Amino acid sequence: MRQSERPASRRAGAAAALSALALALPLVAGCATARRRATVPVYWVTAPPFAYRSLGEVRAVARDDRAHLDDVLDDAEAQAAAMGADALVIRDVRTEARWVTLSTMRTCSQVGIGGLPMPMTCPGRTGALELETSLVAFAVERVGPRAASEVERRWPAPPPLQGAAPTWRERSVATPPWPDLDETLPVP
Amino acid sequence: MRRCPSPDPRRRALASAALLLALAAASGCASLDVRAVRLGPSLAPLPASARVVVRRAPVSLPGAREVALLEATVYDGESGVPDALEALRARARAAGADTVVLLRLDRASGFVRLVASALRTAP
Repeated sequence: MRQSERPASRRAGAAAALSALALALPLVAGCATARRRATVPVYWVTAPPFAYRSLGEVRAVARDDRAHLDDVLDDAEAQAAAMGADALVIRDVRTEARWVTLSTMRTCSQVGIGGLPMPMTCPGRTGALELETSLVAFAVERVGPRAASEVERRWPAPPPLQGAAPTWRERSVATPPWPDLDETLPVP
Repeated sequence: MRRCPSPDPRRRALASAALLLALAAASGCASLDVRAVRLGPSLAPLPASARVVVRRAPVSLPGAREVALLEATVYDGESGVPDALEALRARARAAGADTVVLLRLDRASGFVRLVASALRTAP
C-alpha cells in the first residue's frame, strides 16, 4: 500500500510544482518585459534625424491597476501610423494614482457557526490603487528642403503637460527634485 | 502512544504549491516592476562592469541614439528610488545603452514610477 502511495504523492507534488511554476512564470516575466517595436519610430530625448513637421497631436490613456508605458505607447503608435506619420515624437508622459474604494465593509474576524467558519464584516473601507498613464506626442512627417520653414525644432523640450484631472485625490508630482545625479549617485 | 497521521499527499502538494507561489511573490516582483520598450533594432548588451551614467532631462547628446524607454514602478514603498535607479541601470546595460536620462517621476502613496530613456552615446 505504501509503495503505491509514494509514487502518487510524488506525482501530485510534481504536478503541483509544475502548476505553481506555470503560475509564477508570468509574474516573473511581467518584471522583465522587453518588447520589440517596429511600427513608427519613436523619439523622446533625441529628435528625428530628419527635417519634419507635425501632422497632429496624439493622445493616449491607459487606466488600470498598472497602466504601463508600453500600453499607451502601443495606442499612440497605432494612431500615428493611421495618420501616415514617419515618426512619433513624445512630448510628455505622466502617471497619476488614486485609491478606489471597492467596499465599505471589510472582513474583520471569523466565528464558528455550527462548526463552520463564517466571516464577520464590520465597517471599514477596502480598496485598490488605480493608475492612469497619459501620453501626449506628435505624429510627424518627413519634409523636404522646400518646407524647411515649417520644420519644428523640438529641443529644448516644451513645458510639461498642463492640467490634471481634478478628480484625482492624490496629484502626482511632476518632479524633477533630483539633485545632480552624476555627482551624487554611485555609478557602478 | 498516539502517532500523528501522515498528511494527505494532495494536501502536501497544495502546501508545496502555495510555498512556491509565496516564494515567487516574495522574489521582488511585487514591489519593483521594471519594463523596457525597445526602440529599433536590438544592440548587444554591455558587460556588467560597464558604466551607465544616469542624467536628468533636459540633456543635449548629439549623435546619441535612443535604444529603449524604461519604466520602473515601486508599488509598496519597501524599496525606493535608489533601487529603481539601479534597476534602470541594469536594464539599460542589458539593452546596450550607456546612458539613462530620467524624464519623469510620479509619486503618490502606494507607488513611485520613474520613466526614463536609455541611450547609446558611444558608437
